[in-house]
Amino acid sequence: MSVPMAVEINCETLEVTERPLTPEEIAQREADAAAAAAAEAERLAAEEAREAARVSARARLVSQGWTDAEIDVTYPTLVAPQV
Amino acid sequence: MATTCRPIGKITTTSSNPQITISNIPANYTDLLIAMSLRSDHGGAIDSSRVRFNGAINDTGLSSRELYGSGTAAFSGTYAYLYGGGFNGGTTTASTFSSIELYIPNYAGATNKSVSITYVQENNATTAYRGVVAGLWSNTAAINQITWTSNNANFIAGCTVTIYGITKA
Repeated sequence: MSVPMAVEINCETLEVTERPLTPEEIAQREADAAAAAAAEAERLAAEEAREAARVSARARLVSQGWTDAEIDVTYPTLVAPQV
Repeated sequence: MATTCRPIGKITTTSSNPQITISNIPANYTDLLIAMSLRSDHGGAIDSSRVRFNGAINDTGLSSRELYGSGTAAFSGTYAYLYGGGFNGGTTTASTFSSIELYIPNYAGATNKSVSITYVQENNATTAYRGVVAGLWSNTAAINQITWTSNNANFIAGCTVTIYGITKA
């Protein structure tokens, strides 16, 4: 497997160089990636839970006789996202 | 003297790189502004980056808070690192890039450094993220180097990073 490369610009010389990541940088990057993957899974779960709650709340209001217009005006956070 | 904004360095990636660095940043400006156009080869819709200063390879002294919207709802996050903003992952609309701006006031002063970041993702879909980040580097050293490391994959070829020195009257 090829070693990941870092790219750098030196503001004094404007020279752009590439170099392989050091073992310490690679180890840190792997730890960062693992943490980021866990955080992304948590973020997606929170977003899905929030969307499910929005759909559920809207359906409950409709079942109580609210119109779409009334829901949109009274509870703007329940408005469906536009594609 | 008028306020000026002068480009002092620009890099355009020509291959996939997990890390981009701007080094030897001169200390003779008041603030720094960095404008970025980024896309990742990550297998998801969004990647993100960490920002570090002066050659550090860990997040000592760094923290940040984020507010962001997904196109459906708003969220927030707190990080024990400097969150560099979200940007397009590999599943977003082809050939689109995210726009990110960092502003670092008093980057060469002998005080802790605050950072503000705004980002917006380009994506022809229901979900497209945009957010703002408030960051802190609890360190009094002048910033002379800034490094972005992709959290999940690589910055693809064609990403650009431009750094501007701001001189205030």
